[in-house]
Amino acid sequence: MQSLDSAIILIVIGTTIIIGFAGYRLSKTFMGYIFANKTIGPWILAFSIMATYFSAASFLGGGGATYLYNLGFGAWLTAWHVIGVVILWIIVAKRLFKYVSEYKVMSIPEFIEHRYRSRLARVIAVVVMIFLFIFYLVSVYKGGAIIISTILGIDIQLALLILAIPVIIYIVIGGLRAAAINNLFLGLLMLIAATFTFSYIMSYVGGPIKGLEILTQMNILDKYPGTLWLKLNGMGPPPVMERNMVVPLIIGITFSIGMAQIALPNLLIQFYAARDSKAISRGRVIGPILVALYAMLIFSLGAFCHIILDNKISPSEVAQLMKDTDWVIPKTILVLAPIGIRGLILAAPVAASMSTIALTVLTLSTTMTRDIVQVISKVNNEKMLLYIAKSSAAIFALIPMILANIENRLIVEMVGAAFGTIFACFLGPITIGLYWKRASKIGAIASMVIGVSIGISWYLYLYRTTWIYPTIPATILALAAYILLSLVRKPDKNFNPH
Amino acid sequence: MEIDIGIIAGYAIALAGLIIGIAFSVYKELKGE
Repeated sequence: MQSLDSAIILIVIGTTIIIGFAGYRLSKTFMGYIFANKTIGPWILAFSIMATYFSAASFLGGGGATYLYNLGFGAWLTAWHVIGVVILWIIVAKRLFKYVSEYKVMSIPEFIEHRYRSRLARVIAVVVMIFLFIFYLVSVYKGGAIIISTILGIDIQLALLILAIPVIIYIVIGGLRAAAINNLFLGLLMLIAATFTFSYIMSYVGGPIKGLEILTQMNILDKYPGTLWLKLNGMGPPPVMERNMVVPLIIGITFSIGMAQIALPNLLIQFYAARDSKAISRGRVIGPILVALYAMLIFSLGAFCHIILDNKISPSEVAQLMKDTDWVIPKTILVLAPIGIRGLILAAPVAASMSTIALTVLTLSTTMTRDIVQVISKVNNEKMLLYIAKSSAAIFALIPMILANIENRLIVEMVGAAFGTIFACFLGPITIGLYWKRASKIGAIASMVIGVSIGISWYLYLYRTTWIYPTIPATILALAAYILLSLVRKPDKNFNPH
Repeated sequence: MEIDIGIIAGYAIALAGLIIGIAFSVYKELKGE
């Protein structure tokens, strides 16, 4: 990498610290720190939710996946993302905003306690959120740090610090306001980088149709005809192809990653900070466009990279890239883009990591303050709450950074597993619970316990033998428990859905 | 060149979902909801 590319990435990281001061004035009170005094408008809200949702895995794993999988992976990943974001903004956003505004609840676990009249449900929500989000953040850190360490030619440990320290500085200085404005900046950068990446790859291959024609005439590694990339039950990981499980695996992974957004607490918490219900109404138009645009630009590019890379690298390198597809887009960009532009493009996964870490850490900080400290000790002193919120944000940013030195798996799978498990746990208690009057606390508790147990254990013990993605059984069983256990109890007369 | 219907369906659903989502949101916005 040239020094100009490195400089651009460092400038992007430095800019986030400067933007952090934008939230300084508001972050002098607890409400200002965690909810920006409810001043977030539609553009910042829509960009912030999009940038939080898309981590480095969206650019690296999502972009490179079809280097191994057939184009059905890109098509269905895009489809589930669009369906998910439309449901998030149209069905979930406004109702959640009205609920939390009317009952003045300030966190997802607090919402769960209020909705189901159960302190135990709140405690379980806290434990599940902290556990899964820390696991998820490990993969987010690794995605960003791998790019930084490669581009700057430094150790992964130093790269992790370069990623973590600016985020800690700007969330401690400016809280949610700073993180949300930074997400507007970082989200814009991600969209620009996605546009450049798409343009360079499509220009090289002569457009999507011409590119597919070339691909069908190729024989990858002399054993996989290019036509396999045009069949939904075609190309995939070889062990999965042997068991004829490519279609279920593709649908399972893409559903898990794309639909998770409708029940992710680190996205939902941002609706609390909306200026008013009009901000949600306008965001409802902007939000789906941003997610759909990014998904359409990025998620199908990997297959076309065979045309660009395979005659420039050795067969063993092609085979290695098909095992670790996270490197496909960065390597392609290094081939196609000129100095400067490639720095800008490769800043995108770094930006994506920072934006996801910031809002996730703030979500955990709010949970620590509101759902643990305030529940146990009844602290109400404004300065003390602010101190706890800021220090816990820094601690929650540091824990996964330390764990990132130990964890080692493919980014897209780790994010998929954590995302999917959170989705399985909270789809019933949060999303369906907003509408379904009859939902009960026993159902909510069972949903969270079964979701996390099945999601994690299936991933660890059954995924590699069945090739059924863990989110699918976890969601089915968690939802079944939520619905059946709610139906056997009498409806709660106190619940007043909007 | 023949592209599997399962792949085309994914892209078609994505496009249709986006159009329906935006149309619904704009309709609601114009109604002031």
